[in-house]
Amino acid sequence: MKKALLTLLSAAMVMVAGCSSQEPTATTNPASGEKDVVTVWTYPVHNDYEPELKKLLESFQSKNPNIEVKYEVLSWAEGPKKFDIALNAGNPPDIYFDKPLGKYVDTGLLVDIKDMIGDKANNYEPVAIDYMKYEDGLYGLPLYMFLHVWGGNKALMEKEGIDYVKIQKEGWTWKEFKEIAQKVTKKNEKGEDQYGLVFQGSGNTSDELLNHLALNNGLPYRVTKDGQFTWNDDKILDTMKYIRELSDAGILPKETAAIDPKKRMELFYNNQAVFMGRAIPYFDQMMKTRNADIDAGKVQGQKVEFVLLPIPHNEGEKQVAVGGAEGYMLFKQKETTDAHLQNSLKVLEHLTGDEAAQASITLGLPPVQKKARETYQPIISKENDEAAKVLAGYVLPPAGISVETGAADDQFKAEVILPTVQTLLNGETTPEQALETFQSKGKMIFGK
Amino acid sequence: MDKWKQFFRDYGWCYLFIAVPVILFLVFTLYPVLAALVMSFQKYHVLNPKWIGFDNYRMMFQDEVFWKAMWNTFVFTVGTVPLNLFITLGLAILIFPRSTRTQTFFKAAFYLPTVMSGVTLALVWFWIYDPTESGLLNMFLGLFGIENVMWLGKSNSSLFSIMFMTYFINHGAGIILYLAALGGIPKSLYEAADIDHASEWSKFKNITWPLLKPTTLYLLVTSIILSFQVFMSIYLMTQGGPNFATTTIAYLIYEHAFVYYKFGLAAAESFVLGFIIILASIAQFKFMSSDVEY
Repeated sequence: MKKALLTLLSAAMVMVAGCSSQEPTATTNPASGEKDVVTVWTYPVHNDYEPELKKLLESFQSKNPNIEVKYEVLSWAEGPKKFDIALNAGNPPDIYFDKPLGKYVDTGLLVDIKDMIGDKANNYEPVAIDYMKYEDGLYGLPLYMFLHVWGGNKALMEKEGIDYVKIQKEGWTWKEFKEIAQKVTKKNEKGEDQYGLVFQGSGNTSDELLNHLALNNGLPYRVTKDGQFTWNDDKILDTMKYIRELSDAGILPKETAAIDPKKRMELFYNNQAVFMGRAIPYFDQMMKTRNADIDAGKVQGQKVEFVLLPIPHNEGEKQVAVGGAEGYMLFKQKETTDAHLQNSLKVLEHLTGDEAAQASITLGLPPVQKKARETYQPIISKENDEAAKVLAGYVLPPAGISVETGAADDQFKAEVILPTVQTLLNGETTPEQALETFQSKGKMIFGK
Repeated sequence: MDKWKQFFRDYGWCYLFIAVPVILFLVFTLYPVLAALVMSFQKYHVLNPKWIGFDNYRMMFQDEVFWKAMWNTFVFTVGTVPLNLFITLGLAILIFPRSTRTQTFFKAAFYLPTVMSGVTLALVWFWIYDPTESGLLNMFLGLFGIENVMWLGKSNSSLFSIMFMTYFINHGAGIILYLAALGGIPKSLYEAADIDHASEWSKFKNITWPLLKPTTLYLLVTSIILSFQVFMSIYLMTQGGPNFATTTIAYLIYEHAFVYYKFGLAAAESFVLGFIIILASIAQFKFMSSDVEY
């Protein structure tokens, strides 16, 4: 009896001790002859990414038998939290999928790979590489470039006689967009509301509509490289007034402040939205798959064809598309050896190399890897592919702000923009009041 | 020495048994609390934390969002705890006279939301609060010609909408406790009251309610503690918006820690929250336990 109790107690103590000591995410002593274990945390960057990743890792391990790669595909909803906790406990994975953020750089655990990779950065599109930089450092390699623009319902546009090919090629002004959108805002044949534009307006993405339109109203950067805050003049006021006009005219649903990305898609799939934002080229593929599922009886609903469209710009201002790059970054733990870092870098290079170009192709954009780009065959519709290429040309280079300014901008977004835009969209704040808030809080946060 | 030996022979087993929970408490509760206390005086950095004295506390008290979050938490607590207790008690009184099988059914039915995934519940409530005419609540209001309401999108309705959710889902554990307490009230008291021709209300007021007070006090204290820590419904439904209208103190702590990596500030906020909960609990015991009959 005594022995049994002692065993029980010892087991409990071992359990406690085991739980309290953090298991390192990687074997840090490859010199011992054992396989070096490199940990990768990633996301389902498209619906079939995991099989693609497995294949990539198999090919890597056949060439590098001394390195074992353990990967985990996290969910978009919970993954970032898991990573944040691991990072701040000093125990991040060796390789993580995202874009470099000031807060990651600030931990000192995100590795600047500029000197480690030599001239290999030249294998990638320069704009994509620029988006992986912060100040003078290079903090990862791109897997793909993303493009956030607007989209349209092909059948509804054709029915309304909208020349979307012309819009794709030449763009459209705010005035032109409003005229077209006003015309198509009405009750549909089923007696349901048909909106000119649906856009997500709730939660942490409620600022996107304002961002898209501000960029297209001569405000390319909220904060410039020299730390100048720009959302404090008539341009941002006009942008907010334009959003209110769209809302007052019924073009945007009056419930936009409570519309999340899922509801936006639901309205689009239900043929209740002629235009929608934010849209990405991958929607072409997504909707084709959905249409096939409807034909096969797996999904109930109406088939919808997707057309990629530019964001309207104010007259006299340059057309801009929202874009950037995402890829893999290299992290170190509190005690990481150089040999382990080198092995992790090899994995990083492989995960973003020429063999990894399929991710970009599936997402509907030309690969960021120069070699793969030469043989690129699009899988999205020809018209959307051409539009994507045109729109990708309107993506701005990154602002190149410092880590400190980036942190201030993040604070401004969370504490000022999101709450202000939420009340602008729900009608509780006027554009003039919103501008006053931006000016006063901007002065407090940016000091100018 | 013999005394010690004798002591361990007599009581050693007791200490062995309590060692496990004590070790778990030390490792998983006391140590993190002490580490967080130290962190609240630091500018936390995973590699180089810096001691900054009371700066985090100063920053916290100067932050208007902190005060808004405190107010929201207070409103949430006042708006949910008493009404939820009232609903729970009402349901328990309705269930108690039924047969054992019926009681078991209702206990399980009311406990179900407690064990269900928060995400699943949120999906249902998203549909109920859908801002368009396809939302259940708006569909219902539409029958009376009332326009769509942005339940979660307006500052004046979003916190109420979150509170409203709790009126339907937080009764399982309370009902079980109240049913157990109701079962413990001697029947002879009701029989004596019947002889005196006491009304149902009089029986409730003079017998049931006083004898349920220990359970009520326990539920009140735990409900207030939990409502001060409300997080999941906010995180899933509104992310604190619009315009911080649903930002509670627990959600603010989460945002500061895991979105902005301001762990020191978040730790300071946690201690203020903990202090308030302790004060509120002491006050409840002081003012409410005097006439509790055990």
